[in-house]
Amino acid sequence: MTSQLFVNILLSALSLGVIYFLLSSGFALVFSLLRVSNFSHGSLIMWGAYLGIYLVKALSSFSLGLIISAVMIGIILALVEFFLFRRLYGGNPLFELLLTFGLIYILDEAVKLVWGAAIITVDKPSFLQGTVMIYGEPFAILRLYIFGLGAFVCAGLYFLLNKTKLGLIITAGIENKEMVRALGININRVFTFVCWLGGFLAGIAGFVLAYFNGLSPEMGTNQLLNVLVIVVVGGLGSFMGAAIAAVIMGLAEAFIGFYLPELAVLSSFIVMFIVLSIKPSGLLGEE
Amino acid sequence: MNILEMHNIHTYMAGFHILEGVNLTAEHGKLTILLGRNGSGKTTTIKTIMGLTPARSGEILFQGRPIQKLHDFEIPWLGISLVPEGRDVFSQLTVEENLLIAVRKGKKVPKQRLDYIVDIFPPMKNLFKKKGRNLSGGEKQMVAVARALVNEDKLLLIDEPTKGLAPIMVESMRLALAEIKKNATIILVEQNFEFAGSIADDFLIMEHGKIVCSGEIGDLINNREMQHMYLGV
Amino acid sequence: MSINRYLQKYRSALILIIILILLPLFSSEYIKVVAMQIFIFGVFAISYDILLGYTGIASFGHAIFFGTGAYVSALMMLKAGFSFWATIPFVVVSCAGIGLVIGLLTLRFATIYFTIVTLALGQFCYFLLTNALTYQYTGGDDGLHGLPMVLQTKNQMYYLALAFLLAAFFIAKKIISSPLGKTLVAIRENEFRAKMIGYNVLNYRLIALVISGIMAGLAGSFNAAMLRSVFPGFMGASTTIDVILMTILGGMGSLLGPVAGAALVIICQQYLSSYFEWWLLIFGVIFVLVVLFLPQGLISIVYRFRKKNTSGGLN
Repeated sequence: MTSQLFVNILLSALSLGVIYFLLSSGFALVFSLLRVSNFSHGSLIMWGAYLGIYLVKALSSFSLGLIISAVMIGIILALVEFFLFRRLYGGNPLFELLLTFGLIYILDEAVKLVWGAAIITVDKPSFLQGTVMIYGEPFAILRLYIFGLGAFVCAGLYFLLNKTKLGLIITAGIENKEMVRALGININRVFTFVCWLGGFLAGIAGFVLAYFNGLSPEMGTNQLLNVLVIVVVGGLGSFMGAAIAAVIMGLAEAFIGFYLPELAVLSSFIVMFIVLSIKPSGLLGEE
Repeated sequence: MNILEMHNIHTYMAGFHILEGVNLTAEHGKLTILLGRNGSGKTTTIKTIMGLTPARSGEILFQGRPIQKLHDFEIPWLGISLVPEGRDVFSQLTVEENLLIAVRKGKKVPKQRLDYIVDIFPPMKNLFKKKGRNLSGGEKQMVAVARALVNEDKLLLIDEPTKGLAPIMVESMRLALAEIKKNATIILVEQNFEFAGSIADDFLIMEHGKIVCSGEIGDLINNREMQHMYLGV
Repeated sequence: MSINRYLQKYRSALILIIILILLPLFSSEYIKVVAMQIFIFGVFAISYDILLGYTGIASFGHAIFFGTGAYVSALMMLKAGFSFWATIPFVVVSCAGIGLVIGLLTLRFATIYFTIVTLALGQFCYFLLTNALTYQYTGGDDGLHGLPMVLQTKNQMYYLALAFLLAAFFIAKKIISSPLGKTLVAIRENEFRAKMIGYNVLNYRLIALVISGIMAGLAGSFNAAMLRSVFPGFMGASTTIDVILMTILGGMGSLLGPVAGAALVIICQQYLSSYFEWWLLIFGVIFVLVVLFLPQGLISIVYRFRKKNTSGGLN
C-alpha cells in the first residue's frame, strides 16, 4: 500500500468515525442521564434526514434546513420525554424500553406516509461537490464538511457540558440524581432539555447522512443498529466511550472494507465481538 | 420558637414502613442531635424532611408552613440544606464546581460566602481546583458541608459527618460545626455520642421509626441509664 | 377454587380446543395455513413470554433462535438426509448453546446489555445468512426450498401444529408454576431482594434464556417443516418485531396472552395487508398505548371482564 493510499483510507475512516460520533452522541447523552435506551433514536435520525432535505428544498437554504430540522427533531424527543417517558420513571425500565421500541413503528411508518417508501437520491449543493487534493490524492469536499461539522458539534458539546452551569448539572445528574434534587434543582426539566439535545444531535446526524446515502425508510433501523453497537462497544453510559468507539468503528470499516470487502458489512459486529469478549462492559463501561 | 416540626409522619420505602409516626421539634438557633441505632430511621427522617422520600401521611412544618406536599427540589429554596450521609460530592466536578452547582440565586458563589467557608475550613483554600474523585474522605466531608453553606440557609440537615473520619478530622469537624451553629439551626444525625454531646443543645432519640425520647442534651449526658438503654453506650 | 369455577374455566378452553380440532373439516386450505402459522407463532410468543413476561429481560433478537431452529432442521434434512424428527435434538442443542453463550456474555451486566447485544447479534446472523460467503449453504436471500414432507396431508400437519402448541402451552404452564418459575418471578419483582435471599440470579436467568431459546428454536423448526422452506427473514428483525408485538399486545406474563397476540397479529397481517401502510402506524400507536396504560396487554381486558385476577403479570 502506498502512503498516499493509506492517508486517503485513513481520512475516509476518520470522516466515517465523525459520522458515527454524530449518530451515537445523542443516544449516549440521553442514556447516560436518563438511563433510557432510546430505541427510536435511529428513527429520529431518519426524520432528521427527510425533514432536513425537505426543508433545504422548501427554504432553498442549506444551513436553515439543517438548523430548523435539527431543532424540530429535538422538540419531538423533548415532547416524548415530557408526555411519555415521565409516566414510566421509577417503574420497571422494561416499559421504557418497549415504549421507545413502539415509537419506531410510529416514526418509521409516518415517514413512509409523508414521503413514500421509495429510496430518494439527494443532490449535493454545489459547494459540497467535487474534491480537493490532499497529499496527492483526491478527497471529497463533502467529507471535509463532515469533519468541520463534527468538530463544531464536539466543541459545542464540550463547552456546554464543561463550561456552563447546565452542563455541570447534567454531569452531576449522571452521577447522582437524588443529590441534584436535594440541591433544589428540578432535574425533570434537565431531562427534557437533554432529550431535546439528543434529538437535535440525531437531527444533525440524519441530515449529514442524507447527503451520503440518500433517503430510505430503512435507514432508521439500519442506523439504530450502528448506534447500539457503538454505544455498547464504548461502554453504556459513557459519553467519551461512545466517541472513541465511533472512531474505532470508522477505522475498522474503512480498513476491513479495503482488505476484505466481503466482510465490510460485518465489520462493526467483528469489532463488537472482539471488544466484548475482552471487556464485556465495553471500552469505558462501568463494571 | 420551633423552626421545624414533624407531626405523626409515616414514610414507606419499597413497601417497607420505615417511619411509623415521627413527632419532633427543632428549636430555632439550636443544634439538635438525632441519635439512635442503625436502621432506626434517622436518615429516612432527614430525607423525608427534604422530600426525597416523601411522607405518606402526617405534617411537616418549616417556620410554621406545611412543606410535606412540596416537591423535593422546592424544599431547598425555603432555606434548607442537606449534607447527606454518603457525602455525595460529585466526583466528576471540581470542588469549585461542586459549590457552584449548589448556588440557587446568582451565577457564582458570593465572595463573602467563600470567605466564610474558607474561614471555617482553612484547608479548603487549596482544594478548589481538585476533582471530587481525587479527594480524601475528610476532604469530601468538608466539601459536602461547605456545599450546604453557599446559600446562607436557615436550617442545615447534616447526616453523620464524622462517619469513617480519623480522630483529628473529627475534632476539626467539631470546631467547624460549633462555628456554623452561630448562624444557622442544625439538625445533626450522629452515632458518635461523645462527639455529639460536646456540641449539641437538644437531643432526639429514635427507635423503630419513632422518636422515643427528647430533651436538653444535659439531661442525657447526666443520665447514664438512658444512654445505656437507647444508645448502648 | 370451587368446582364450578374450575369447570367454567375448562369449559371455555375445551370449547376452543374442540373448535380448533374441527376447524379443518369445514375450512379452506388458506384458513388452515393461517391457523398453522398462528399455532407455531403462538409457541414462539410463549417462548418469548417466558423471557420477557416472567423473567423480565427483553431480547430484541429472539429471531436468532427461531432462525437457528429453522435452518438447522432445513440444512440437516436437505444436505444430510436427516428426517425432521432426527433434527430436533440438534435444534435443541444448538439453541441451548447459543442461549448459554449470549447469556454468559451479557447477563452479568444490566439487562439492557442483553437487549442490545441480542439485537445486534440478530442482525449479524441475518447478514451471515445473506452473505456471499455462505450462499452455497444457505441460499442467501432466496432461502432453502423443497424440504421433505413430515406428514402426508395438510390436515395431519395442521393437527401436528395444534398438538405442538398445546404441548408447548402446558409445558410452559408447568415451568411457570414450578419452583423455578416462581423464583424467576421473584427475581423479576425484586432482583436485589432475591440476591439477598441467596438466589443466584445469573443462573436463573440463564436457565430461562435456554428454555426460551429451545422453545423458540423448535417453533422455527416446525415452521420450516410446515412451509417446507426457510428464508433469511426467519432470522431477521421483522420476525423479532412480530414476536414482541404479539407478546406485548396480547399480554406478557400470561402465556395465553401471547398466543392471542399471535392470532391477532397474524390475522391482521393476512387480512389487513391491503391497508398495510396505515395499519402498521396504527399498530405502533396501539403498542405504545398498551405499554403505557395496559401493561398486561389486551387479554387483561378479557380477564377484567371476567373479574378474574391474572397471576404473575407485571406490576
